[in-house]
Amino acid sequence: MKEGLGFVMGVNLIIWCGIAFYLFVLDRRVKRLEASAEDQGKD
Amino acid sequence: MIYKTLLAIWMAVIIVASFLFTEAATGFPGETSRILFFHVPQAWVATLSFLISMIGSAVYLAKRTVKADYVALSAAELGFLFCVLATVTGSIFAKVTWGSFWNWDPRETSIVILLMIYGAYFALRSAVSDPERSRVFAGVYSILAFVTVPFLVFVVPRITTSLHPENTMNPANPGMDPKTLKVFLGSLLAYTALYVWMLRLRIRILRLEGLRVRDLFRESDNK
Repeated sequence: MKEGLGFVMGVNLIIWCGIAFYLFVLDRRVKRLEASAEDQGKD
Repeated sequence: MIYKTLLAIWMAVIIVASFLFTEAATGFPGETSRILFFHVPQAWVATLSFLISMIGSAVYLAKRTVKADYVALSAAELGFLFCVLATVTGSIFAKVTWGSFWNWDPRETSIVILLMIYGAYFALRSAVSDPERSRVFAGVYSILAFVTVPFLVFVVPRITTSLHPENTMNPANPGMDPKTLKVFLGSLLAYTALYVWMLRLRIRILRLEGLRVRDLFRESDNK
């Protein structure tokens, strides 16, 4: 592997992990809010 | 959840494969040709997103269902985001290859016009205070805006001379290395799946915001 390529790949992977983590957290929060909105609708 | 976990792993595999599995294309300085695996899928997703926004707008205008407007707005937002990403990655490539971040190349110029057209879409939405009228205006504008997309993305760069590498890195080119083609197609799939996830998430958020606004109106009516 050429010099510097591993570093760029690592940066890309870190950015992707950050994006994926953010999306997973956001997904969970939205799911929770949807559940509470549904409960409010039932009340 | 399984689909999202698989996507997270798949995208990581694509990133690793784009650096380790493939060889840099000849005729480009250093490793710059590897931008193909990120820049082209971003541009593809932006185009797809603008198409979905147009379809959502048409459905809204025909049926007046708020969900169709949520789809149109979410798709326009994500299309804009991916268009900006494609512009930034393209600029980095341009700096290394052509010596300047911006060269007013037909492709660069047409993508800026596209960004301005969709920037005006958001300005229009926020300028009209009545939500119903805002949706109708935005729906009509979105359909008109999409008419320019094929022209700006596919026609303009092909009828003028451009610095943009068209033949060497075009996947339709039979000269493309099979390994590169595999990773490229994998990247297209990963970006499309990521886009679907983000679009669905944004639509759900808009729906929740809509419910919240409705509740606030109810509360103020009761008072």
